[in-house]
Amino acid sequence: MSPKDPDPSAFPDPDDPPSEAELAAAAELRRALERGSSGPVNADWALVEAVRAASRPAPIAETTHRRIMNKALSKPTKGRVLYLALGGLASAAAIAAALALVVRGTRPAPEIAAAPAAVCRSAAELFPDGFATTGGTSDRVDRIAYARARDLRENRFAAWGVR
Amino acid sequence: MLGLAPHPAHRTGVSRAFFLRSPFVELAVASVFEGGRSLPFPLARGLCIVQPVAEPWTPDTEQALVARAREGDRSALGVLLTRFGPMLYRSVLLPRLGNPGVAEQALGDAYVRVVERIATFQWQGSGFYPWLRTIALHIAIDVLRARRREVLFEPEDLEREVEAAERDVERESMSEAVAERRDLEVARAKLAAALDEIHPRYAAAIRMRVVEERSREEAASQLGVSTATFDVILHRAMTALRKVIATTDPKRERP
Repeated sequence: MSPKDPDPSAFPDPDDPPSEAELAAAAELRRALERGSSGPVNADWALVEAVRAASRPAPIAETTHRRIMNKALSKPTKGRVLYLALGGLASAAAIAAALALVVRGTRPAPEIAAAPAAVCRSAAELFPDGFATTGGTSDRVDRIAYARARDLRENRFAAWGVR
Repeated sequence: MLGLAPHPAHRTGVSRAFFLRSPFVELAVASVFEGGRSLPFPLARGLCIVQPVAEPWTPDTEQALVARAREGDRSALGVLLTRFGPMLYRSVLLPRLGNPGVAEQALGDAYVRVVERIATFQWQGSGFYPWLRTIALHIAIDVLRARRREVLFEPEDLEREVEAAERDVERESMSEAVAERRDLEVARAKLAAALDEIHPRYAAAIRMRVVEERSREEAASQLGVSTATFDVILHRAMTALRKVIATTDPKRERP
């Protein structure tokens, strides 16, 4: 069924005899209309409100509008909250950094000098037996790279004071 | 919005006068002497309400309020919302959302969004209301997508209205009065179109009892049936209308 073709059940004969369920629902709708409000659950009443809102919308009460407006106006904007939060965090970070500098400044410096950095050396010591003039290039490069990486680690450990 | 400035009474022989001025009222603190003696209220020393301010609302007034609101002046924003909010509720939110409580909630959400975004608002010739209305329409679209009760409008209807509103802003052609009238007409046309889809006797029952709020007896008499039969007809009419609304949006989940 396309949206242009309404459900044929929207056109039943209004004079058909009602069922018990229809009588009960009709009585419920009548009571709701007389009260001017719905019971706990009344699908007809929701539609009554929608129809009235579309045809003759009632103005909002001034006190209700003022309450809604004051509530919104009293809220801090997200931007302001964000600025305050970021400002607070930045201030805390700056204070923490300053304290860290002061605390670190009072501690004795680690004895880095006691652990001398590894020195660079010739690659010749890695090949005590010499090597062939042709072939094995990749193996030699790997051996040198491994040795130098180890030297680098040793230097870093020494600089950090963990050696 | 409150300020301190020499009161116009200063020009009329009053020795000293200051006033606090708001859009609604002027409060004056005046020391009034004439001929060497103080005068009784309203020309005596003290705090007094001088006069209600009834300044005409002009585009310049509105633009000045918007400028102050953008700078964080909540009282200026309050004046704008006080002027345009009730219109927004009655002509946009309530007809499209179909329930006073839901419309009030949407109005509050729209105001919160206005408070958050007013600093980014760029003044255009069409004024503050089109911007406010567009915000409210976006809120209403979200509400319609989330809710499951019967309403005449679909989110797609409001999306089309938002697109039209953006075109109107570009043309600077829409005053708030025109927008209000058109919004109300759109809602009534939507209802009329739905009623045209159901049995004429059903449509007549809804028009008389729900729209025009005629008495049950009068409506039954107009249809030529007993009141008990009219109750059944009206219930069937609401059921038929619900089916028509659901037919326009087969994807919408119904309770």
